[in-house]
Amino acid sequence: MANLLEIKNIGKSFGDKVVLKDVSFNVPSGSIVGFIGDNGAGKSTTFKIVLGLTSKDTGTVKIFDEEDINKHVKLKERIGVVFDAANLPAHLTIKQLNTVFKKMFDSWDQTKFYQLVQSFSLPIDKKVNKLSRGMSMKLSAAVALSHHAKLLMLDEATGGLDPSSREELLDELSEFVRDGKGAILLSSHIMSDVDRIASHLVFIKNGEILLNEEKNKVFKSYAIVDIDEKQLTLINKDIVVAKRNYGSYFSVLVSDKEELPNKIMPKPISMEEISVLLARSEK
Amino acid sequence: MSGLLLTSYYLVYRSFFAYTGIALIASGLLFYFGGTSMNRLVSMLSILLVVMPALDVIKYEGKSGYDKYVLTLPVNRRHIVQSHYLFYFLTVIYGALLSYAIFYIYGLVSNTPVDGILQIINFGTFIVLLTGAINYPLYYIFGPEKADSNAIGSVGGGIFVTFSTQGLIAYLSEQLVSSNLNIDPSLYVPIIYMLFGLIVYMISFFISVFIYLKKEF
Repeated sequence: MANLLEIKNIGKSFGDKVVLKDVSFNVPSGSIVGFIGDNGAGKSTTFKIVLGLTSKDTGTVKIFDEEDINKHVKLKERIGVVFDAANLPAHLTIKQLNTVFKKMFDSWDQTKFYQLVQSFSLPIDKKVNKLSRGMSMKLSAAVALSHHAKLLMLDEATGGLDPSSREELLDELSEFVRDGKGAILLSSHIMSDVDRIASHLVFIKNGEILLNEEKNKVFKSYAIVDIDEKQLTLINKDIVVAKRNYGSYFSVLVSDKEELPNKIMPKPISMEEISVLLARSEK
Repeated sequence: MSGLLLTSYYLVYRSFFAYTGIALIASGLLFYFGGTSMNRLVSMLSILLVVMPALDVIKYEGKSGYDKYVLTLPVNRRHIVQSHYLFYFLTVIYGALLSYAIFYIYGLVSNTPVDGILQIINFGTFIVLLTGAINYPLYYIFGPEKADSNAIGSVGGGIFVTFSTQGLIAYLSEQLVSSNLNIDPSLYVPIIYMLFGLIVYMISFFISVFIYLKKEF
């Protein structure tokens, strides 16, 4: 499976504040990579670096095997982007947006755009700034899905959507990768969304990647165990992904439950639990 | 590039109509109360009013976050700056034509032909080009939050530079008169103003591209 996006060892600091440390992960074709982390963990900075909005201090980013997206402007035809706000020109109507994007993208698909606009129940004569947050996010998603992009980068795109709109958007995203040619990097706080559609999980905390794994493998091999300090010493350190101290006991995420000592019984895991444990874990 | 220009147009085209109306009314009032002594002010004001919406384009883009989003579209940063400068320049041309129409109609209605229309309009055009030349680099440095103060400062700067270089323009014009060029001497001042304005505008464009290429979002 070829990687549509390859991020290798990227680092970024703003003054003395280190925001990304040696971040590496890939987005293979046919995959939906859930990019998870708390606010300020480094997700948006990673997005901005990949899209060439912000420079990186170290490392490489390859999109469709090319480095430096700003030198390969035509590559952007194949990338659909949705930020955490619509970020579309506020005074334009949906109809005017269609006219503008028809001129900007060689591959703009007007039929697909209006089909999505209709299925998302968006009013074509209303200006972008008159749309609700949910509607403007759906419009942004419709734009991203209407120029035959191969890579979608969605930064909190499902936030602010009502449950049925979210369902609709998630269905579109699942459809997008179905033929195995496209891929999605999806950052979200909504674990149920990630749980539902992601094929890979990348968890970032304080600018460092703590987990980078296929979702199926996580749910097959990973486990959370609640153990005391003595039991903790019995666990092979190599399989400890994260641990959290609750005072009287530790909650530990391990990468291979088969390697746990017999006396330690793993708990069933959920996306929510993994996410909270990784976010609150200590070194 | 045409997509970027069209976005700018859609963002402010309603304001253009409104400001054109205001320019016509303001010019009418100035002529009514001040007569031909207001020529330069009428010219500057009418062009300046119609370019105000063009200055608002980058403010609207910044406030809606489109300045960030546009970088994800298949355009490069140089194109974005180019579209801002070209759109502003086109509105300056529109303002100059409107100004010419105002003077022409005033001449017809009042039966008092206005002398040196070209010179008066070039004077106004020069101020407005300088305004744009000052505004854009400042905007790219300070961002949308300071857009209004940038615009006001740029207009003030444009007027200040224009009046403080009047002596220099007059001197250059005298030099050209003595050089016996085969051009109507009454055109020297407008030509110098126009050339000087365009050169400053071009220099400003290259400075803006330099700033914008390094800008982080």
